[in-house]
Amino acid sequence: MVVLCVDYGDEKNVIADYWKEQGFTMPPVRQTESAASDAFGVQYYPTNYLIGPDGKILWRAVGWEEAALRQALGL
Amino acid sequence: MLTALLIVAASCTQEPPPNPARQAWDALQQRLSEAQALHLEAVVVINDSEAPAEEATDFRMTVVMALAQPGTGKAHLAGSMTGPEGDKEELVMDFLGTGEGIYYVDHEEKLAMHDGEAWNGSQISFFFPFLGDAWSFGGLTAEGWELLPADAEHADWRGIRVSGTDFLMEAAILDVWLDERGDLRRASVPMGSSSRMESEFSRFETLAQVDPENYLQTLPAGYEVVGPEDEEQSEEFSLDGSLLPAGADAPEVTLVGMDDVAFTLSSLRGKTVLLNFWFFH
Repeated sequence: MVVLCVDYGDEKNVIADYWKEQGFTMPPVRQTESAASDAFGVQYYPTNYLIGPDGKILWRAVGWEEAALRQALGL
Repeated sequence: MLTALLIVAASCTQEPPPNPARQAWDALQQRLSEAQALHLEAVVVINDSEAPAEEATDFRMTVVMALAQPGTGKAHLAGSMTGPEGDKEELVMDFLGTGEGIYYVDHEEKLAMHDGEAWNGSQISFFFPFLGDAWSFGGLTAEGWELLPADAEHADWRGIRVSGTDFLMEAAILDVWLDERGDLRRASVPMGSSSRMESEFSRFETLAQVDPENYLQTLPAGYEVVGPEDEEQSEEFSLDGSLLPAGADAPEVTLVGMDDVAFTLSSLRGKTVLLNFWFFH
């Protein structure tokens, strides 16, 4: 599975510093202004979307609901 | 600006062993659930106790008024905060939600600072009425409660630890305890952070049968609550109402990696993708 952390509005160096500080392993990615957030209707952060291999949305939620995500992944 | 504090929206799923702090906590929770409003005066001092002295942050936040109505899902809070530079910032915040956890939302429309400066950006927070100021970026899912024995350093701490996960902070721990005077104190230590934030709540009382509008008239001069509560909107409020439904095709978006190389979401077709929308600022 590919995990992408789509940043909204932070400078590149801010993201890099935070990632280094936290030791996160999943890659951060940026968007042009709020283009991706707008396309996905994201108003609150964090919001998570799980997208299947066929490009269809499997699950989405505001916040971080690990149990629900595990269920969506069939884990 | 305010340092992100904590959050709790938890329910206890296991019957804990008897514990004085826990019993006091439960009693206070019961008082809150019975009350129509909560008035509290709290001095919240945030000490970044593990940071070098020159980097230490000492905020002092005084909550002068808070109104929480768990039954209606409304809460209002006014207070002031003095930062390390001594600059005093005064604020009024409105909340919507349920009695278990109250979301701090949409403050661009609902919040006006004392000096007229509006806050930027959106933020979702749980607001724990009893703690008055408990709020944070993103959502924290409480995973459980743990009773803490007093430790050698703080023999008077009888703590309750609420553990949970937060994607931005990864995890956070909240300790709530009664000190030797019986006052409620609280500390939080976000995981992955060297900060320990401590709060002391000086006084709290519950009020019954308070008319929110009348109560709000006690706001200090200069505060402005922007826009009246919209009952219909409150009832229909949904965090995920704007999101695309499951089953829909993911829209095509272009993303840019830290190597400045742009790629499209569709280029990942064939793989399961978790998109985590976040921000740090």
